[in-house]
Amino acid sequence: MKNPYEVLGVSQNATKKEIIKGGMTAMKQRIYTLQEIQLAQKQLLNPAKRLVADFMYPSKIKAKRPKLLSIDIKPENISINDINENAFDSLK
Amino acid sequence: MEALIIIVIIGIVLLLVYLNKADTKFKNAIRLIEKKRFDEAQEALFKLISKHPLAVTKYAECFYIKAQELKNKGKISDAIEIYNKVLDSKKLLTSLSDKTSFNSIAETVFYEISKLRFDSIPSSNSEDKIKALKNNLDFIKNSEFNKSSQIPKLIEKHNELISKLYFELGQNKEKNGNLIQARNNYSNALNYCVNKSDLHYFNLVGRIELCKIKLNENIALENIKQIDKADTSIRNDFYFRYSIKLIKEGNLIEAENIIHDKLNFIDPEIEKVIKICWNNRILSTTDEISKINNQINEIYNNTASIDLLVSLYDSVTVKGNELNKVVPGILNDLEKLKPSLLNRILHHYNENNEYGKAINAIIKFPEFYNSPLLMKNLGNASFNFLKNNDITAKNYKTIISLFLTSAYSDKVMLSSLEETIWDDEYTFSLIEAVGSNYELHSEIPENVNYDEITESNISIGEAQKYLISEFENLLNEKVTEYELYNEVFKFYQDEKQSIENIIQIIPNEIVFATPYFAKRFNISNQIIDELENDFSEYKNEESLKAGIQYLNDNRDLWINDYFEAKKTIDALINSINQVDISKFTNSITARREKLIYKFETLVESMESRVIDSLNAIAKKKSSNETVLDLMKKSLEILSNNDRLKYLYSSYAVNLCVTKINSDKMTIYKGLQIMSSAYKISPNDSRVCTNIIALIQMNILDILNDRSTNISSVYSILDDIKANRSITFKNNADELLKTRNEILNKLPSEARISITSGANLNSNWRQLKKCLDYLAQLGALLQ
Repeated sequence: MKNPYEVLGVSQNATKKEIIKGGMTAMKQRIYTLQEIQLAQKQLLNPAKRLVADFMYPSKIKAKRPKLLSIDIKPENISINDINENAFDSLK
Repeated sequence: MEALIIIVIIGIVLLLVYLNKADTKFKNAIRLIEKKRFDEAQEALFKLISKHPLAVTKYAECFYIKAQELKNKGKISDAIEIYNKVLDSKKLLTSLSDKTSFNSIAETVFYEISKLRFDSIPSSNSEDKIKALKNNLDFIKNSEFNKSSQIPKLIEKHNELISKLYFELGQNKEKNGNLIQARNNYSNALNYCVNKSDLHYFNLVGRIELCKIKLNENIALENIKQIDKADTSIRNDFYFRYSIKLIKEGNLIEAENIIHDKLNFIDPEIEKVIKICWNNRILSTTDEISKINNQINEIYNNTASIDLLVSLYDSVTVKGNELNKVVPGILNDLEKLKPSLLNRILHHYNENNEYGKAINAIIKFPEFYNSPLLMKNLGNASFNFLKNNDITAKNYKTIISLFLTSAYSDKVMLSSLEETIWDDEYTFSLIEAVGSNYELHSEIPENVNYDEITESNISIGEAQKYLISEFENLLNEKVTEYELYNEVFKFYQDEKQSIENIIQIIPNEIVFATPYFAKRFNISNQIIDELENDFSEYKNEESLKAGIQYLNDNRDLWINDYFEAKKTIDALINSINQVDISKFTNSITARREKLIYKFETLVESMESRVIDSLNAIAKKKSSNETVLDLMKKSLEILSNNDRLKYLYSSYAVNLCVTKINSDKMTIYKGLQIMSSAYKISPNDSRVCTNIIALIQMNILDILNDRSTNISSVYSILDDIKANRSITFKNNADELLKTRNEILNKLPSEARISITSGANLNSNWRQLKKCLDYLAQLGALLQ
């Protein structure tokens, strides 16, 4: 099953007129066979089958433009030299 | 010659006299020892050294007793001196001497000497003590008398003490900052350490690793488990220094883990370590956030590569969880990136016909199955994958289950509907839609209804069916291997049937999925719970049947019970088909039988399947006793089934007639089988006719002395006598006829005697008994 919208070169919101016109254009272009063009037209002019063609189009899910991330926490002023390494000296 | 013999005899006599004399002297010496007159005893024994085998041993024993007395008085050096004389006595041994007894006392004495040397090591400094102990160890190891059973323990004591002394030395060196020598001493201590599972050993391991940290060397990570068993002070010291070392090496995450796991108590110095680790986290979080922000900018400038998009999409949750530890709430912000990332990733993959990758991206989206749009994308990606790729044993299950789950959702079709603008005034009806139910949708789009289909009210169900048939055509075209073809289509049909079944049964709004999909994405429990509820409420066994495919654990469920019961029936049928009585018996247990009887439809199915299988087998094997046994076993489960009773009786009659007529069965065995059939079908006319004939034959065999089972035959006849059916009685006159024929052949006197029963010998008594059975079994009344 070829994507009928692609065969006819029309958008997903094409009207009946655009579908018929698309068929004529496709025939002139000779990329697809006459049978493929007729099948594509038939499919898009049949609402149930057009529903199937629409099913084949990937949909975008709802997505908001996310904000850039931010961080307000600042490091405390402490260094490794401030630590007493012998704090737990086991030889005391 | 005679003179020579006489000389030899005289020689032997003289030798005996000589030895006898030495023995007497030896006994006298022993008495002297007993009287503690050791010097005199030793003098006497010395003279007997070459004359008596125990003389040297007893001579040495005198020294031993003297040394023991000195030792008891605390005169240790004197005692050692005398003990040594025992060992010196070895040089007195002659070829006549008993070396075993001497060695025994020498080994005891050697242990005493070694022990005294160990006990008397001076309490000087550790190094001297170690030297003395090592000397004594050498002394012990090099002696020929170190065989006493107590010696190993003594060596162990030496080693323990040396190890402890090295440990002390190591600690002193470590305190003075001489870490290399300290570590060497600890290593020496470890070499002498006897018990590798005591505190001393664990402390040693701890000290060695502490020295390594202080020397800025790498520690042996495999020793950490042992350090955990060391003294708390060593453990804390080690982990604290180790965490600082890790910080210095830049491994702050590990340092943080050590503090959290091993030093989880409040202390100002530990707080400092925690602060340094936290600072590090803040810095790395700041860094990571900055990187992510750059990536976000790239995404919105459309300069992000697909690799970047995928890598960010895949790592968002892991990164978010890590960053959330420093910036609470940031995980949520990061998760919000996912839809946008997925849209871009899918766009790229769809443009490039990379549908397999598109599928993988979708199924990584959290709870993607709850989103009709993502399920639609999954459906078209699966369809397009099939269109562009070969179906293989590895991918067919995924592709089929994803597509079917998508196509069998009317919500998916509704979401697709919303994407298109129609120039005609079409409306759409869900009336024929699969995966649809009036109760399922509280809200549906304005142009959707549940009305009858017309030219302008378009059937969504028709669209779904068209889509599914297109997929089936494609599948048919794409699977070319014969073996895979069968496998793929069986799977397809099972998945399709299963999802159709649950859609038909479950009235609530849940995710309807095929079994493979449900199990793979962990949503089968919801389906199973719905089916269980349906059964509990309506006793609809179809719910349980539908649930079998969705089972994924052994929970206490109706579906599990149903499944086990169904498997039991399958096993029974299998054993019947294979004519295997032991398989039949093993398949059914009391518990399993009870399980089957919980489900009405299963009982019905079992009845018809068992009878059909037995019928088929009975036709194939017309006279097989195992088939009869299988029927009898089946009757134990289906005791009230008249069809099965009839089948059993008919088969029993045919079997007996065929086998007895061809001399392949005894008439006794025939009676046994027929009586069993009679118990099951007492009014079956063929059974009654045949059992009466067999009774006659068995009685005639007894009278003609041909029966070897007389008492068993009588027992069977007693059973029949007590349970004569109407049909039996109606046919029983044959038995009376036989009785009369027998009686008529007897002389009249005998007949009178038999009738009266007086003065009968054993043969006549047997005859009377048989005639009585014939009379009782053949009586019209009773």
